[in-house]
Amino acid sequence: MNKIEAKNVDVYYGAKQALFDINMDIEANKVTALIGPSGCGKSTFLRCLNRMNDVIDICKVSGVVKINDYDINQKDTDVVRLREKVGMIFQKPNPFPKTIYENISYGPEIHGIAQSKSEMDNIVEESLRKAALWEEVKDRIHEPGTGLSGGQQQRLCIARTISIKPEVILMDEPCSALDPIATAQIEELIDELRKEHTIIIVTHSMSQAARVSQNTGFFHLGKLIEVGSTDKIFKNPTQQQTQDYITGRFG
Amino acid sequence: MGSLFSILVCLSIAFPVALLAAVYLEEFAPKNRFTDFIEVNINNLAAVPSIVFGLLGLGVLLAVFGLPRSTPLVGGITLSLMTLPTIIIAARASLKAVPPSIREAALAMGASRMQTTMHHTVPLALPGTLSGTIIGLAQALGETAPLILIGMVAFVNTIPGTPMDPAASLPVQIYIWAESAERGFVEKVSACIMVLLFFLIFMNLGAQLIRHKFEKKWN
Repeated sequence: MNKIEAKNVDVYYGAKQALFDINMDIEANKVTALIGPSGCGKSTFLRCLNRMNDVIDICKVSGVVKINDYDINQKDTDVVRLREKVGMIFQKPNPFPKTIYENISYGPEIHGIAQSKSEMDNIVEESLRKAALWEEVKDRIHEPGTGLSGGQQQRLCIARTISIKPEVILMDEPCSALDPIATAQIEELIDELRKEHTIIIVTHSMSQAARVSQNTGFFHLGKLIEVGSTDKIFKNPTQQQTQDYITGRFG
Repeated sequence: MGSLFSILVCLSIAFPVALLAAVYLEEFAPKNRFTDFIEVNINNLAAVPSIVFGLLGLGVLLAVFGLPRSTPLVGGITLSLMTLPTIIIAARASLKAVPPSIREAALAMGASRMQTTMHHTVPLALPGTLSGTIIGLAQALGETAPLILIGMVAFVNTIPGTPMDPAASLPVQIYIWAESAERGFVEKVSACIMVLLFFLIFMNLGAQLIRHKFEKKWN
């Protein structure tokens, strides 16, 4: 089943075109990796999926992006509801300068998910457990989230995102600021999260794409060159460019 | 008392207006010629000599609105016009200093722009805004010229009960007394200056404490 369908997506930053006619389907409950050299439009495409490009004044998006068969690029799309369904993890961990508890309770609070204090406590604990962070922080959830290590902060951000149970989680190079051990933890977590969420991850590391994803899309200079199952892309790509990139001949 | 009332009036007008203006300009307003124009004007206003604001107070508040002369209310409003640009500039600078990643985090959580601004950006920018406000108020507290123009020069020896009563303010008192050649006024002026200085130190100290408290909470 296709969770997300992108059709003829073009993105412009001012006069410069960043994405050219992207057509891509993303399957539910799988991890889809987007790979490609820097500046090829992977992150831009990712940001089209929850309309984070709206924040950038000069950015113009055209084309159709359907999530659950609903076109999110319509004028009257409620971006608040959209982003509730499509969460996002950023390259640099960006916890709010508040306590760990408040970091996670913020989402349920603004969306009115928890009715009572005990329900909120449950959500916070459950989210932290799912993000494999509970054991490490359970004694200090009322201390600032910014006091955690980088890997913990990123898992806190993941916990924050899953606290409102999004259907899709977008990850923009979530491990690029982390050491190998923290990276391994996050990768393990991604595999776990796939049961309940559809995950799209932008990564610079091809080995990471091979490890965590079921499907892979290869971007180059704003075009989607090839997309398919990770196995096929890495072992038997149809395009010469993909072959060259995967084998490290460029990029 | 005259100074105190003026400053209170000034604070209660200038701070909210300046904060809202800064938030609008920084977070919501589109970047175009019109907002550029406003920005230039704000920077200009910050550099306008205070006596011009005094004239404005005289012309508009006293002549047009018919507010009572020599009252801290009029003084406060005039001073708030003067401090407004200073606070706006400080508030905008500290709003700018809030990392965009925090805004993105809140937006990605499905917070609306209003929620993002009110829950995250403004609280984070508040310490910086407060320090800007202090600078503005301290400047206003020591301001003499505009107050002379709106008539806060008369020697009033009663303590005002409300901001609507006539009152003298400290810097104006110093100005008048310093001109008097009679004996004993040197001491009076010195005393007055010391009171003003204490007032300023006290204010800055208090504000510094508030700032520290906020900064601890947010970092």
